[in-house]
Amino acid sequence: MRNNKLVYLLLLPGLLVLILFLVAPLFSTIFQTFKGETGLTFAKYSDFFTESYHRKVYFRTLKLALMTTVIAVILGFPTAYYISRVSKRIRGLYIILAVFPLLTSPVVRSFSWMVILGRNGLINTLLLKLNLIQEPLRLLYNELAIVIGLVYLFLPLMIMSLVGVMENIEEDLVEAAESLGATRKEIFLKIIFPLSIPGLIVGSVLVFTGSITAYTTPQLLGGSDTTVLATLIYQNAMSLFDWDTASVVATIMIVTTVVITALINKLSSKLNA
Amino acid sequence: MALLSLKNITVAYGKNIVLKNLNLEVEQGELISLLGPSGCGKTTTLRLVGGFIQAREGQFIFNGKDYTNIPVHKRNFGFVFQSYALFPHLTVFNNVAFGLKQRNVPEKEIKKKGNGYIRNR
Amino acid sequence: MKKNNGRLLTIFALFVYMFTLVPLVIITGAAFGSDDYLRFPPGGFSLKWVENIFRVEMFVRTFKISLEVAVIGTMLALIVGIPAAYALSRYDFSGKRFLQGVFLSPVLVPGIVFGFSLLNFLIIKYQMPVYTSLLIGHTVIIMPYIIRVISSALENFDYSIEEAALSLGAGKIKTFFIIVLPNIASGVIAAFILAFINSFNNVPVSIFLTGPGVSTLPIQMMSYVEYYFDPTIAALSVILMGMTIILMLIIEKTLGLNYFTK
Repeated sequence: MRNNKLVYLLLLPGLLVLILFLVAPLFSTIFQTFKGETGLTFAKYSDFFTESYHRKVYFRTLKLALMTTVIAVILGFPTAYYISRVSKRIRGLYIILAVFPLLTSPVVRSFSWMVILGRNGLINTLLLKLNLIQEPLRLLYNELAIVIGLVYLFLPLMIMSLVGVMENIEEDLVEAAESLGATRKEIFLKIIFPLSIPGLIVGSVLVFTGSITAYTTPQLLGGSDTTVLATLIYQNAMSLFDWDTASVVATIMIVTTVVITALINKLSSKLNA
Repeated sequence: MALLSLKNITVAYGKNIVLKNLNLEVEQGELISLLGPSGCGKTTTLRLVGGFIQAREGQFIFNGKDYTNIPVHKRNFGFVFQSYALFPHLTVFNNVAFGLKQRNVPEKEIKKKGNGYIRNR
Repeated sequence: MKKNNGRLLTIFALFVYMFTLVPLVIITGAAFGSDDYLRFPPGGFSLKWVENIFRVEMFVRTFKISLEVAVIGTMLALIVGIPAAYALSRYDFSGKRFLQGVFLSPVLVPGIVFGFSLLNFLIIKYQMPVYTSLLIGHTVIIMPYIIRVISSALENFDYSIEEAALSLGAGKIKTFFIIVLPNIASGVIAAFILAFINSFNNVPVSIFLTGPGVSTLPIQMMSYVEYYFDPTIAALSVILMGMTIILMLIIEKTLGLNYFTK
């Protein structure tokens, strides 16, 4: 088709919105971090990383995201496999039950863990009643609470990514393997698992980058002692009014997510080759 | 002079040339069928006459008038689609009446003509 | 019917689902407690915290703002998004792949970074009003949902039906409004709902775009939790979950359950 003029006319309003209100603000923020007294400089980055507190926050963020991803895979993979093998009607029910939390406010979902982990929450009440502890435990406002909250937030996403791939694995393949003498374990390791890898990669990228950039959950469950990159941006921008540092952290966050996504994708294409 | 004539028509999608220097004349009342293997340009020729695609080069004359650059909705050519292309959100009557409505035929006549094609069993 | 799952696997899957759903049940229980502070299990049954929501003036006001921003933002995104989705799914042109990526890119940018950049650029640099910036931010984050859902609706709608309308004398724009739009209506509704939910629930972008008199419900909820630890938020959560269920039912009615299973 040759209606080129019409095509660009249709695309123009949307493109303008994105250029003016997404690309321009991002570039302005990123550019700001490289601007020195004279010319371009990396000084703000070296300043940032020389502070041990910043390094701690950075590696804490990566560590918590990695833990979240690993736990989400461990919990999500068998569950997705189960869902992909039940009858179609029941599968629909399971998927709706996974979508519901995804569409529920992250504030609500993080808050529910404050109810469970809080001083007067479910777990402390239970442990006190059973006389296992004398004083309520401090379960909130630490790294563990963040990881629990993040796993809770992203597990449905992992399950959905995996089910999408697993339900397309044909039962014929499994039966063929059975007829050729493969055991259940071999079928899982040699057929199901390799064919599920694309879903595993999509799910892991989503969960990992989501965990690195999550704000609501660490803010509510981590408290002020357990700062991560997202809460660090907010603190610098809104409490300390240090917009330079906030911009540096924002840029680092973008670079980190892009690099990690690219790495995982590269790794996966290598595995497939 | 022929009723419909295609003169030196060339159609291409990007670098892929589908029709090259096609010449065709059809007289009034003549019945024409295009035969050939798939991908030889039958559909492209029809779609060109219908106005769904434009020629890169050449001219399309109908009834002595140059139709090369006339848009589809102003051509008033009948076209039967492979998939029938019925409007799924309209009733049977409104499907039949659609073309008449576009050509601003009076409501009364649309009713008469439209109902003439639909029979209750 | 596929082969049965092993018993161990069944138990594991049920355990995982309990993990994803029980917290939402607990929050519902806590919402109707009679104690003055948040605890679970609650001491007794009471509706006072549900009533309390409407007594906190900020909740009522920010609920209205959130609703307004989500609806107007979604409308704006539909107005610029539908033409773009149409171009991307109906035409072939150079750079199509790239532009598709551009239109979906707001999903890839971390919300917290985007929100901060808007604060930096619109409010500080160009002195834009906070409310306008909030609306702009939401329009941008909504766009990918609109593009994706509308594009897939268009791909499921046979192009020759449009051509038929054209050949019968309807112009391009008329064809779009009387033929295409009615047939992708359920896609538009689904796009609207998904976009609405994502805008309404957004925290990381909104949090930078608040100011005197301008805030959203989730932001207000977060700052409430910082100072008060009573069941009001739990009660509010129940109302929000109810809203989500209603919206999911609408999607189910317009597109069918298999919309979620795709």
